[in-house]
Amino acid sequence: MAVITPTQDQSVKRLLTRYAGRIRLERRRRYLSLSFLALGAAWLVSALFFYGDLLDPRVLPYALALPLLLPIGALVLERFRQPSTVETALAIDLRFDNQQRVLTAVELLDTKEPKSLDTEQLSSTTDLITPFDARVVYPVRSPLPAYSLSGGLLLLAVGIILFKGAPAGFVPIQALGLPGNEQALSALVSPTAASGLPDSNKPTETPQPDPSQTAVAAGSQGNDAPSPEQQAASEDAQSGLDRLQQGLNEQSATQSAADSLQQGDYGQAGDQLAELGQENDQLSEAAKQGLADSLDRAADESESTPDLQKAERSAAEALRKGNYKQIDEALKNLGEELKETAQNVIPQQELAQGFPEQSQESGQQGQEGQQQQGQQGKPSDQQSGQPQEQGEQGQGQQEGGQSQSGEQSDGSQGDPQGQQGEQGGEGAQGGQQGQQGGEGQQNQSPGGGKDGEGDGQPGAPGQGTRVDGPKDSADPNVEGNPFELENQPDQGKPSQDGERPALTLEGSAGASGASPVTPGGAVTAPGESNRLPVERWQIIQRYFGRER
Amino acid sequence: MTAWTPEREQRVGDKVQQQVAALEHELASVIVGQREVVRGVLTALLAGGHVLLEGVPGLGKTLLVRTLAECIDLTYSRVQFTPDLMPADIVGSDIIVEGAEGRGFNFQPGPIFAHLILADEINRATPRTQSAMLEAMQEQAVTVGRSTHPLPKPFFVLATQNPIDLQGTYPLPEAQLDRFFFKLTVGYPQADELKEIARRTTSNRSVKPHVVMDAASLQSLQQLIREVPVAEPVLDYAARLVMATHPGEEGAAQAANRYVRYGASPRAIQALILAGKVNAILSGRYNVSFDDLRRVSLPALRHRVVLNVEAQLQSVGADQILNQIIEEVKP
Repeated sequence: MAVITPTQDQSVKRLLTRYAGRIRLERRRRYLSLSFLALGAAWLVSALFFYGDLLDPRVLPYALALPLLLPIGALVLERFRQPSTVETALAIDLRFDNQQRVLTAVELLDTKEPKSLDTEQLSSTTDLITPFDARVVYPVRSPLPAYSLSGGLLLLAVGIILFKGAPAGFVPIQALGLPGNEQALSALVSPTAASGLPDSNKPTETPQPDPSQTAVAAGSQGNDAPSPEQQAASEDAQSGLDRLQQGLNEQSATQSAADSLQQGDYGQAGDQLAELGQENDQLSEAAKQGLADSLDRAADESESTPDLQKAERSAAEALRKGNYKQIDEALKNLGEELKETAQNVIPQQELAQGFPEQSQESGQQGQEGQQQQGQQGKPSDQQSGQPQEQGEQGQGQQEGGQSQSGEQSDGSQGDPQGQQGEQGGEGAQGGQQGQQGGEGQQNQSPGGGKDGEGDGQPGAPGQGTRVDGPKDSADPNVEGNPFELENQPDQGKPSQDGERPALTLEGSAGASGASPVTPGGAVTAPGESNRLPVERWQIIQRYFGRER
Repeated sequence: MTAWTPEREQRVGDKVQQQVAALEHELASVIVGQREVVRGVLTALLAGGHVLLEGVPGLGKTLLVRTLAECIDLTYSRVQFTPDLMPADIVGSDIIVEGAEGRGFNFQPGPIFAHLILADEINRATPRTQSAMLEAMQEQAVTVGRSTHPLPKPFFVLATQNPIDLQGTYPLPEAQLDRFFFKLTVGYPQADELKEIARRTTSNRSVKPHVVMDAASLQSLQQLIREVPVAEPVLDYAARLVMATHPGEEGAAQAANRYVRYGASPRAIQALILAGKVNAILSGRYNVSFDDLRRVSLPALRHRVVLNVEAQLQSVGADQILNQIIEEVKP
């Protein structure tokens, strides 16, 4: 009867222990690798859902915390799934010739009455397997690739979450939407525009004259100077249009129409309003309500233009109701009314024809004129925040029908203010030129003259002073006459009393103002003046006034 | 108590392999080719079972048994089965013998009383004669009248049958087929083998095999082989293989459900395990493996499964079905 010796017994058991440890190590690494990969995948999925707003931010912490249990579960699972003796034996056999040597040897260890071949089987098995290194026979792959991949997934998930959860002021996140604050928006465009100062980077725009206004201006040029009633109507129309422009400028949907209004292109503004009416179904409810409120505010201050006011009220009401057709008709009607109202606007050139004659005797009048301009500018500022349109526009400018919205009451629009400042600057320059011209020369008599000391009286209302044209009607091309090309009198037409040139400039420093205009006479431009032009003063005043 | 020593292990293992290798060598000196058949016959011989050889005439079946008997120094007997063969022609009979004490019956043993029996074309004899033969195979004894006469040990029957020319034959019933340990199919020799056969048998040279083993050695080998350990999972695999041949039973294979009428008997697992042990020893191992069982499953099971009509109509053979079963049943 054979006997299984202790040596054999220990050999086999040692063999089993060694390989059981390798199996456990392999399982532990495999489970941990899979769990970490699952963890990384879960985090990445959660981050993607969070980024796509498919996951509630309140649920995100749980979605990130729960997968952390996976590695713990893997370790627990490996602890419970320890390989049995039979499993270990089968695994060892599989690494060799798979002839169930170890499997049989394991069973023979428990045999109470071993036979001769049993002992031989045990010894042959241990002799065959023992010389081999268990680490070579049962290699365990490194988990680093899996850990690296899971680490990459985790980092990617964290990056996505951080990217999504950046502060609200981070522009790239809100790149699809501009800052809500319009001042901030204008600051993005041009810092100086927000301050109201003229933007030096912005190219000087030459606004296209409105054909209707041009026609009016052309017509008015050939007619007599506008009557006070016409001037008043023009002022009212301008005021109403300015109010409308302010209201339209508050809404992004009507920004283009507001810009057209500001540039004096009333026809285009009306067309844009009509186009907006056709596409009003694309407006959000908030946009409609906002536009309705803006139109109501504009209507509240457009009492001088009842038709326009009525159109604004109708449009506001239609917007509040939300009916597509009603809004379309109302906005179209508003556009038409805008054009109608714009026809009453008389360009500055024509208005200048109605300016009172300036005396050339005292320069104080010029100063007074400036002061008047400033005072007139102030009250007009104070009244309703009306733009210093007339003060800003120089007499030398013929921006027919150019209406400036001027300084806004809330000062919220920087761009228009910039435009105002620019236009005011242009007007100021023109005014300055006019002043210079007025200061340098005098137009004393209808026959033209070259006194050069012409004082310019302050033009009414708050305009630049008037410079008389050359006294020699036969020779309008007097040296220094900036208007020689513009204001050449008809050679065949007899000059009429009271006929005055379209524009005159102020006289020299200290001059009282423009000299009396010789009907049909040429206009002369004075020399340079050290006095600050009225137009520029308005800008400075407006700028510093806003800061206070 | 026999302590384990490396020398002893080496002797036992090498001894068996050397003896079997020598036996195969001697058989190969006479029998050309047919190595699978020779190995199967030796396996059955070492396992103590009987073999049914199926093949066309002239393939050396008789020569194999005769050569085997010469190599092992066993008594050899050949019985040609014919339809008029009687059981007494096989097992023997009592004859009246006149002696000094007067007349009496004396048992005259038949040709079955030998170590190696070649039952040629066993399917030609009547069922009655077949049953007499098969009883001797199973009981290792012969009963004539009231006397039971034991057969010599080791007792090995190698029966043959012709797969063609089945007219006028009596196919062995399944119950009797089950008594054979292996059923080996003798195939037709290849061209090279044919040339070698012609070279050996058409010249004056004759090869006489040497005796490499005696009956006692064979018996000790048979006992040693039975000591080869079998692990529980291996035993379980053998049982599942046999159960897989039974249609409609738990664990039955799909092929069995479709083509088998009756599955293998418990003798099948005996054959599997014993043959597996022989195979393990001959492979240099001291334990039976799954591969050992798979290797011997065909000869051990092909004659024990009864095919149904669908298999016959589709000409699906037992080997094909068993291969599907072996593939389906995993260790």
